[in-house]
Amino acid sequence: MNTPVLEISHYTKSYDGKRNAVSDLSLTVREGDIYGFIGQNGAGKTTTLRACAGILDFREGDIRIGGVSVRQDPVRCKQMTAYIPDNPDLYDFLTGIQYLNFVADVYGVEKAVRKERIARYAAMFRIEGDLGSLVGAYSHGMKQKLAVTAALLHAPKLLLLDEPFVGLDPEAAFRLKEVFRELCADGAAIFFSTHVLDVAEKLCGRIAIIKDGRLVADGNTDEVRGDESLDQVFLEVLGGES
Amino acid sequence: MKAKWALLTKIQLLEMFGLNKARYSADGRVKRRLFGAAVLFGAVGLILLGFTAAVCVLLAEQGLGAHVPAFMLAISSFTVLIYALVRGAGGLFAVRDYDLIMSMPVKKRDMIVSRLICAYLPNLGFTLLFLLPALVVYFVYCGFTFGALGAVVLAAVCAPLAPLAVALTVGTLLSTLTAGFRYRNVLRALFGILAFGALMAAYMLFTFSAQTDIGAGLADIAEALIAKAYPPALLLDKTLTGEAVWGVFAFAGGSAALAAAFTAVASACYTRIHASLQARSARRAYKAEQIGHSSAFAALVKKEFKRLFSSTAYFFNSVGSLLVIAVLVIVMQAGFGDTVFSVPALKANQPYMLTALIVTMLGSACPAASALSMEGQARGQLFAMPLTPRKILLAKAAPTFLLDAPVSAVIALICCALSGGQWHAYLLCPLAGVITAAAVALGGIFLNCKYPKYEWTQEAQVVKRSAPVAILALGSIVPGMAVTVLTIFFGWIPLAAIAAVYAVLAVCLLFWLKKAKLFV
Repeated sequence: MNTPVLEISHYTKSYDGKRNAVSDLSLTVREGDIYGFIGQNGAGKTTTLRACAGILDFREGDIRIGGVSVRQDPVRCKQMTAYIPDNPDLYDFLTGIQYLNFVADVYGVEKAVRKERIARYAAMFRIEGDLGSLVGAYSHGMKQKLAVTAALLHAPKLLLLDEPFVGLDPEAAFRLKEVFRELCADGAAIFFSTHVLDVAEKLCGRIAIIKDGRLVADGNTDEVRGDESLDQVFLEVLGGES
Repeated sequence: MKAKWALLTKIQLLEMFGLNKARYSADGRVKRRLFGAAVLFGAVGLILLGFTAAVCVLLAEQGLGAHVPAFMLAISSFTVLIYALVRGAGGLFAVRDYDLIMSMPVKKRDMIVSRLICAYLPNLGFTLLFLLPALVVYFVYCGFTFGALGAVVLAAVCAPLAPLAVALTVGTLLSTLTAGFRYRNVLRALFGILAFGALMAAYMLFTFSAQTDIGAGLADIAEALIAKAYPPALLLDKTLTGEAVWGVFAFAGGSAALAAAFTAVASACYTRIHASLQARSARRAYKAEQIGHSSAFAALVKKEFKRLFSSTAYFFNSVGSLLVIAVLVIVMQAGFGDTVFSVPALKANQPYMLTALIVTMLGSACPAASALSMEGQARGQLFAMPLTPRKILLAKAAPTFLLDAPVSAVIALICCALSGGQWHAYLLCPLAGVITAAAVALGGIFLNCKYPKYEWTQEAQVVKRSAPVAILALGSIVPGMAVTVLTIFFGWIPLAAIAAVYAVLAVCLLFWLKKAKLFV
């Protein structure tokens, strides 16, 4: 069996101390997994992803990346991951190439390696002609492509993405899916939230469904889906809500 | 149905004071912060009110009671003009909610009016801090009349309009003309600094030259002061002294006309101005040699400097304050060198006094106090990187130290040289500046960590109007002023004492950095 890359055990998070945004959530993402995380708005997807990325504090449960606890050694965990929020608000005052350089410096990517990867991913997402411009001049989709490129520079073991396909053009979305598969073939893992069930169904080997902060379904996509479509399963587990 | 400009104004005001957020937030800290900020600003207001009242009484005691309201009107309007010039037209054009608002059935004029009202109200409050004590002092020394009450109230209400209109016109022109430049923010900031420096220098030179005409008669000097600080204020003066009753109406009419003219022109050109400010530059590819390599900490510091040099408001807030310190200290030296500092007892302590003045003002030159808040919605990215909070916060404090320390050390050395200080003054004065810079940088980032303000739509909201910035400025002014006064009597000792206190504070803050945590 593949080694676990992300282990979430009994993760519970409350913002106001009264109501839990996420309750007792446990799941494991292993090497090679493309793991889809689906749920309604406000179900707790972003709250979970942010905690995995080490940017949201929590009191109950544990999250381990590559066997290291996010609470105990966040910096080591972050070195192994890349996180892309749903609406990447990048530094508008930097040019695209300055931003990529900054991220590569922080992750300690060697100059030769970063050169090769920047050239490769920038060409793949067709942003090489814009990297000399200020990020503030980018469209939402271009910012998303830049964020993805930056996330791939240090070849993370775990990619955490919040709605990664929003704002991407069809070609870029296709390329991103290819990159996901490539990374997973090399032993990395992808854990991402999405509302596009069609994408989740076709792309993900495993799926988790979260409702009101609780995990209501988790497993191989085929097992979760059974004989039905993912849309039907999703509506059923949400109690017929649409 | 409410007028649309009123609805837009209400939304702006709810954001400006954070009242709505505090009212509906489940997080008790938000309410406590708002309360703390209100107490702080209340305290600052009271201090300013007390200071203004003292100046008014002092002037009235000199027989200038009838001129006090006009004098205070001139001072407040001049300050509003400088502040508005510094701020530019950022709050009016290229705002983040432009698409949202302009997609609604709202006239451009309504949008402009709502933004102008939001710029006007804080300035009105500021003006009242000057004119209320002036009015009371006027009544005490010259007797109560309804005419004077009406004239001063009318002047106060209209006073911020003209300076705002002038400053916004200059700011708009500057923003539009520099829109095509890649480094437009630096250009705008440099212009702001030059304008501010020129005004400060002119104002101070005028003040010193005015003192030499003391034999001309107090009333004449009062008029000259008012006329040179802010000429339109003479109109109120003429009304209150009975020379021309129409004066205040001319003042009010002129101010309102300027504001109306600005509103009309800005409304007519609003879309064009917005488009020119938002125009995207041509696509630009990168060159392979642009890919460099540095340590994570160096990359963080470089990023902080790039942010500083890219934002007009942020840049001005730090570098501009340093310029104020330089101008003030050097003008003090030049202005009082042959008079006040010629007294032997004071001359011996002159470098310590002037260095204490630097120590007093260095808290106002602290980009670190807003460096964390400037991350705004992008903070998640930074916090998700493999960096310890200590490294992130130190990098954010670095520009403050790297700018403040050399500037304060150099100014202190200049003061030592100009005043012929002894060898220990050459040692203590720059050292005190450097230590204060370290304490200010670390104190700024500490306060910003405790009271971050991540939700903002304009940078000015964090670099000028946030709790850490205000606390730090006030927190350095109070002990600094005390030390400045004490150096007159005790020479180097108070300066050495405050440097020692700041050194201990800086060490404590360095230890705190090890335990600091950063979450979204």
